[in-house]
Amino acid sequence: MLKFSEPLNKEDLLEYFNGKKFETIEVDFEYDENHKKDKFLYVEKLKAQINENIKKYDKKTILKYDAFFSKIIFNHLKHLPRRELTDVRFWQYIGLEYLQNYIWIRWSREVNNIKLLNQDQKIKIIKSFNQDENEIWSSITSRFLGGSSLKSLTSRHAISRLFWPFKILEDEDLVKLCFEKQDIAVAVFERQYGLHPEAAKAFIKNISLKYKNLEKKNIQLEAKKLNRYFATINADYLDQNSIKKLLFI
Amino acid sequence: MSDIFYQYKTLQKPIELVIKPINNEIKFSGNILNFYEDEKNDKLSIKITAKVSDIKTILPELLQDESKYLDLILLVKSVKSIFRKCYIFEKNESIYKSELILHKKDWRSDIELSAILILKKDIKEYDGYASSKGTQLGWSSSYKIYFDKPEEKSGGASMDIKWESFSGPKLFWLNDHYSKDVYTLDIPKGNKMPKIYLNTDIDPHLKSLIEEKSTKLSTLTSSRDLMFQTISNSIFTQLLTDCIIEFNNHLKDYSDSEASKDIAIESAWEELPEWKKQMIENYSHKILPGSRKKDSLENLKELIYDEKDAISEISRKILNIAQNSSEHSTQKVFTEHAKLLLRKEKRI
Repeated sequence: MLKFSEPLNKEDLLEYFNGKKFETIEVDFEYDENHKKDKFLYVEKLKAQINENIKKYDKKTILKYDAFFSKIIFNHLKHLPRRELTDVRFWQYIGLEYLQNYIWIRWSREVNNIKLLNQDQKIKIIKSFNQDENEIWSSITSRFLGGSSLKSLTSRHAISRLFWPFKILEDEDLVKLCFEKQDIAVAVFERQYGLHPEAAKAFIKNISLKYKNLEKKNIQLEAKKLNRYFATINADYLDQNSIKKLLFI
Repeated sequence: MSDIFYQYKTLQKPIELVIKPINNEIKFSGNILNFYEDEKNDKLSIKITAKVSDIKTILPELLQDESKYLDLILLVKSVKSIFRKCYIFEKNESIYKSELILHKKDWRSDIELSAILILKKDIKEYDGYASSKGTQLGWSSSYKIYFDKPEEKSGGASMDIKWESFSGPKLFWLNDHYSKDVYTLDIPKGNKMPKIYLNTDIDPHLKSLIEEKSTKLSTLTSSRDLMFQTISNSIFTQLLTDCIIEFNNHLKDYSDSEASKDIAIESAWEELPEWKKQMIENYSHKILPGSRKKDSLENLKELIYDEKDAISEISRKILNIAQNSSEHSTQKVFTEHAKLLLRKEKRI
């Protein structure tokens, strides 16, 4: 399995879609207990399974299947060392070389039929002005590239944002709850306490109990409130029940 | 006495934390270990000891059994490795002990290790003492282990400059009273980068001058540079002011929530968008020229926390910070333009 030798930036992404080949290096599998298997098998199987499944969903419904794709991605990549799974170069490579179709369908408004998407259209979309976000680059760039901040892997990159919540939450039902409302995933996995599994689990389990109608402003308010408690109380020391109490104070 | 920043008692002295690799050949330099330089070893075994002074002072007189009410934890945190976890120290007489094995395959960038004294369970409220489970009551300094060479600091994302009509719907807030202006800065809420807009409706002569690409010294290029310098100074001033004010606002929020100084500063910093962190970090030594460059960011954060007049003091100097922070100093650009014009006048 390979990864880019250097992280790609926006200009590199355009060049990638223009056909430029970027230098790659081997992903470190040395410690993987299954390393004797074909190294490329994991990701080839993952690609096949994702591509098979995106045929089943149209543009509108695929948005609701983050938890489903999260499980597939997690199951195929969970044996990789954490050092590789936290490397943005790895996710950029997987996203562009293997799971590009999924990213276009899931994140580009313009793409309805992946078969009709050619190289020129890809470049046009990447370069297109994003009216809503008032950005000069299309917002899909961050789904291919991730970034360098905390949230780049847990919340931004199209593939790693599905892998890491599963890895942290360790429970399919919780992952479903987390992605049911995208604001929950953002509120938890763009904050440092989201890296502490007990805090992430407690927030996701209980936010929907506290608010029947999960409005964005309530989710953000509770996430910020919890962050403030963690200024004096150590999040890492608390179990889910103790964190639940903080949410219901 | 309770600490000035707390409503409850905390340790007066920092926890003494000592971390030593079991392999004697591996050594920390101060509190830092560059383990990425070690090509022989794939794992690092460390022994951790900690000593807490005057531990009973943070508990009410009626609850003096520290083993019943207090835990000392080792916090292991690595944002780049998407990991944070605490381990409870074992107590052996007056020394707390722990051991850890760190495999290179598990870590990216760096990890931070520190000891924190924690209230073990909810207790009855006594005035001046912590009562909630998990409350942090004392801290050590932290150790850092690098698994990758630290990245060079970059300038971060850059700002877009766009031509746009100030009478158009995109910049609607300028339509009524500012539609003839030359430039504006839009600082969106959240993490989005600010943008500079130049007015497409300005006089064509002015537009042509701004778009002049030549680098050859002439009245034309010097006038253009003078304009750029003026624009960049005002943009810089506005950006830096916005960054510092937002940091200060977050600090106020956290100060009100009984957070310790360190945690208030760290939490307020975490709330800032990346570009604002980068901006403050890049120019902290210009704001505090008396500080050593490597200390200036931390000194600045503390200054804003400690001194209520810090923001107004920085504001008094912010135009001067701007004049000295761009690629070419304002004094130099203005002087060169003056010299050029005066030389021309003499020739005439």
